[in-house]
Amino acid sequence: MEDYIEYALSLLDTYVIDYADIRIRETRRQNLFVIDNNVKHFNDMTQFGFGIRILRNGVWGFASASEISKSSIEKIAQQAYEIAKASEFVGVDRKIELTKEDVHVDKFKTSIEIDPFKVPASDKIGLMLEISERVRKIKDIQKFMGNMYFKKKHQYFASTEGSKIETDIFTVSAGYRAVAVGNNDSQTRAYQQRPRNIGYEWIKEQPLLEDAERVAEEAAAKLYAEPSPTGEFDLVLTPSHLALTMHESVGHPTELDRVLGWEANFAGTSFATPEKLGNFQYGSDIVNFKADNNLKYGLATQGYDDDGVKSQDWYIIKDGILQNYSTTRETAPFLNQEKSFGANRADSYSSMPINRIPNLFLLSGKEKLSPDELINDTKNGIFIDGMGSFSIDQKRLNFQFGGDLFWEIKNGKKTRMLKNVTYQSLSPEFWNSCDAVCDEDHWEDWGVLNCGKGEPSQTMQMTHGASTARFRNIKVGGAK
Amino acid sequence: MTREEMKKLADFIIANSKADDVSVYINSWSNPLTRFAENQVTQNVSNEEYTVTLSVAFGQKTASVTTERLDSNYLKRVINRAERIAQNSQKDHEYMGILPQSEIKPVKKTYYEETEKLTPLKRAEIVKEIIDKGRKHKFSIAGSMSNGSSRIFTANNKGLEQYFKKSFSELSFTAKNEMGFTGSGEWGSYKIEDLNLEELIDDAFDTAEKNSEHAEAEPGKYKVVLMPNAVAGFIGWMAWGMDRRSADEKRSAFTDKLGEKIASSKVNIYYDPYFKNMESRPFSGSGLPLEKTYLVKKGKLTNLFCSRYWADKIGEEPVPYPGALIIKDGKKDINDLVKKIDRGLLIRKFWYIRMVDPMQYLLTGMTRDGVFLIEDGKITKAVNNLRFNESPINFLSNVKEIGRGRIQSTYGPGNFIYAPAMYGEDFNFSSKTLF
Repeated sequence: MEDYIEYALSLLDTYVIDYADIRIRETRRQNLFVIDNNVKHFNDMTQFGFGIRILRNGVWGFASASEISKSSIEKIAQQAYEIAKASEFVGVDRKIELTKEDVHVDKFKTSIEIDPFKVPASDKIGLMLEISERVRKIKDIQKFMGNMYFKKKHQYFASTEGSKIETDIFTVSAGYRAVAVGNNDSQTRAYQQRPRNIGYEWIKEQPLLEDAERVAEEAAAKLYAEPSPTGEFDLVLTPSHLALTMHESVGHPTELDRVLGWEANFAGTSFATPEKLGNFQYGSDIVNFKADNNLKYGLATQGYDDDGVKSQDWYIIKDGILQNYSTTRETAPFLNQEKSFGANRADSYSSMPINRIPNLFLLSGKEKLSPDELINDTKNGIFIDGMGSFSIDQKRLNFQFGGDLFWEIKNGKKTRMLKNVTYQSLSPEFWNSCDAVCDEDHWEDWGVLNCGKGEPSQTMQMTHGASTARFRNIKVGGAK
Repeated sequence: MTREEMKKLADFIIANSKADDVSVYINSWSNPLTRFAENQVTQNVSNEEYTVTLSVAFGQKTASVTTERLDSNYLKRVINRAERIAQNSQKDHEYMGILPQSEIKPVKKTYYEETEKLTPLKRAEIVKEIIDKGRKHKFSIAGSMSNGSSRIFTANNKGLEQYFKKSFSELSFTAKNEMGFTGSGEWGSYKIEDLNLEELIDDAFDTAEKNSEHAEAEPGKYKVVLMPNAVAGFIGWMAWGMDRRSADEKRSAFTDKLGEKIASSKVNIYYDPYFKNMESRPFSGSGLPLEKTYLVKKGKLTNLFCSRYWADKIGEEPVPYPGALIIKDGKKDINDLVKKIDRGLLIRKFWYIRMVDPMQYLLTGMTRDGVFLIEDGKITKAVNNLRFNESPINFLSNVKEIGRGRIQSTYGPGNFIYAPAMYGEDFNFSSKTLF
């Protein structure tokens, strides 16, 4: 591949352009679905190709192909060049200028013990079927749905500035859902996927099998749980739940491309506009959000982004105040920032990289506090675990979230299970109502593998972590 | 990739596999796209991609492998990999085997070469026209203009061989006025000649102009006129989820509803690959021929999507998923629907629709890019965006009038649904946002 990289760079040097890069990427994915005692789907997919991005007179052109040869590099480079010319035809109010970046010649690889693609299919299938058997033995369980997902991404990146970066990234995930039917109702409970950039050892370390009966029993218990109350309650939210809430209400509103209006027609814009930087009370003073693309096991941890910017960490919210955004080499200059935070990622060789949420997490509380102590301190609340329904407006203000498991809290005790709970708030109102975050002993990393954004649509992954936290007087039960 | 190239590949794979069942699914597509925001191009991309998926079965043990590499040595490795995984797998007890060839009447109006080959410059000309006109109104324009094609070839070792191709072009843009409020336009079709750019621009800009001075709308139940885009999002969400097995297994809002009246008699939802206004793929993913089939006919639930396995188990015919859905339209225009309403809301678009409770088919979502108050049969002023928590089943039973339909883009490039405007009552908005 190095020969093709060198050929592409020498070719691109002959064009009169501002900048260009080439990414050659091979991605292999394995997806396993088991429903009940049936192996419904086992797909092994490999994608291979390259994309060339050209910045000419301050506008982009991008083209890609799935066959690599010297002639296809010539064809795609010319296509990207012609597309950049067409972009210029529309008119350019402000030319794209890229932030300065050091030249990097480097390699980065996810640290793994067991290559998931070397583990026999029979081992993966056997584990899922054993979990399924345990789940389906529990009364009222009608269905089991299990999934495993493995990804290996090998990429060469090279730019006309001189950077040459080779990366090998592994992602591993598994989870399942028990479906219960009875009492004129149907309810589900998940062993929620906790994806990580790591090897197959992560599958072995998790209590996937050990938790099977608990997950199934909780699904069955939800059939007989009380319906959601309506009113204002204090919410005690676990890390597995908060991952999605922070993704939607902090992660997306602080992507700088959205703030600049570049997603106005699709994913939307943001209420967190630039004049709020450094002064907007996004959350209470115990709310601290950090981005860190070097986070161990992080789903966005890949050494460098697809701009060739080295991974780094930074505050998004500090002591409740909006500090910064996730940025790329082309978005950061719009805020007169000299460096990108390195949040430009593409989901495929055939996609142009766009501003994505990094690994983003709520820092744990400074005082010693456990989830049990937090519940003991709550008089009239609801405990929510796991992800459920989610929806938010296009400026990321009004949201509604569900969850996966709910308990009423009365006078410091979890008293009875609830079902079909939803809560509604506005993003800053919600984070300003946070009055307690448990300590670092209770911090957990979760994340999403299916963050959709962009046109053409791209799917991306990132980690979100938290300790269990409490939110005062949140409206519950509007979804009726 | 041409049909002949696809067939040659499929023949090679089928000839080199020792599995009991061998099927090959080849998808070749392109989706060049020009994206713009703040009145200039932000992204401009071109791609030509294909995937070859080989599915094999030994008895009821199955596996599939997908690749983009087509050299014969690599394909032989792919075949070996699929066979090895399947042989080491466990049974899918519900596996129904592969189908032989069926006679399928071809569709004729889904592919237009000029649309597939639309150049970046032609896309740029369209984008420039929107932006230049927007500047005159002091609008900031964002959107995307795309075209492309999709070719599907599927074959198996029982003699099945089917092919479908379509071209498509889609345009979507949002005009933001100086107050920060928006109007939007969306269009999609198999052929670029169908684009009436002037009409689309006028409608979007008119919405953005009117969306300036806002009155406050409080949450509550409203009479609503849903424009086709809103109907496509809201009713389409439900239609694709109409599954027979989950209903029979008592984990669905459609449990015990088959044959019952679930909607106003004016409501008809169906699929028909030969629908004159919007043809679509005439065969299912498993190779079954698709014929006109009603899901809801005159308000009655007549069919739910049903897999081959479940159909066999309950002794009925399968109801395969089609390439596109149709919500039957009427002859009235938007003003005819608005005239009927003493006080209500006109909704142009919904956003971020998600399931809340599958047992009620309760959905939530937000309005977007223009909500207008209707008073005494007239659109009077713009109002803030609202969150809904409403079941499409409930709404369809409250539908009073159905307007003219149009092709609407839906999930994924070149995927369409035919949807009309609808006037219905008691639509539940549960909260509001700040804009």
